[in-house]
Amino acid sequence: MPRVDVACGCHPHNAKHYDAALEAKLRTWLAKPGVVALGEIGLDYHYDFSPVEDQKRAFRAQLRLARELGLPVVLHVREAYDDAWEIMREEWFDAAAPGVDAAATVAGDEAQIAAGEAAARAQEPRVLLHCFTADWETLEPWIKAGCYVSFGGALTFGNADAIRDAAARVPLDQLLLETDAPYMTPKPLRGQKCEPAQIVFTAQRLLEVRGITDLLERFNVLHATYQNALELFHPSKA
Amino acid sequence: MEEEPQFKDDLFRVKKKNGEWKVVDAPDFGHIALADAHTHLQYATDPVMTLARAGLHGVSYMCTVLDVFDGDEEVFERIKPWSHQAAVNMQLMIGRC
Repeated sequence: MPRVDVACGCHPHNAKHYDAALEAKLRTWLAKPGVVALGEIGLDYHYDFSPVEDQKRAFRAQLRLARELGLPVVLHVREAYDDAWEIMREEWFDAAAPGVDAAATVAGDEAQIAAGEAAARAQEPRVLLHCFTADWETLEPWIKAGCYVSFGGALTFGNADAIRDAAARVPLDQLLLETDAPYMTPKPLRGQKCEPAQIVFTAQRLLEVRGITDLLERFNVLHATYQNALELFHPSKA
Repeated sequence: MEEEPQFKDDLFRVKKKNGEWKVVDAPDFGHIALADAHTHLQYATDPVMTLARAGLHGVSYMCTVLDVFDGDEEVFERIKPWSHQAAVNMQLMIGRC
């Protein structure tokens, strides 16, 4: 029986509606039992349902909220990786690491400061780049920054060689699977609504692109995608 | 998308040109637990059967994503009843009760 957790946030499509009242509502939702992440948030320049500036504003505000609340973020980025990277760099990756030892800072002990920052960053909430559909060149800096990435049904599509190439290169401890149901139905089921059970088709394709045939290796890869999800959303329990 | 039939089993099907639904083979990973890191369970036509089928295909964890602007706050209260009924349905589907 699947355990079901919840992520909530303001999608970039709805960014034009993000104001103080909506943020207040989001705060109450994020406090509900079972909420494990803030998302999906980010930038979508494919549909432009909300003006770009509204999308950026809502994205920044929610990143700050997530940092305040210590929650991981689930990112939706489409045709906007450069801008999303800049915002993440400013609001997340380069933001001050919490919990840095104040005394070490005052004493100027660089080694201790570095160790403290590393430990603090290890405890920081994580980032998931969901439904990745670009290429490895686009993904690599996010991977180097420690982000998780999840692949959905697009991994099985006919014109998805770049996505498959990226999926083959992601380090195992940063790799996740998803369906984004009811969207992104994997082959051979295209044309009908997607549902979580269909993840088995995406999982099979992932094993193929990573050249996994050995039974034990199949377990290791699939189990890693499961463990990574727990680590992302329940870091103290994974 | 036209309305799809709601089958009460864990099989996958594709629609043939003559309108019939044909069962397709699905990968079977045995007892390996899978996680759907991003889904929208609340948009499923039948969330209970969706959960049951997911469980029967090895999905042990999922994170459903809810939008604060146009999402339904009642979803938070529905997850437990859906999960409970899905657990019952899973047992029925594998013939254990």
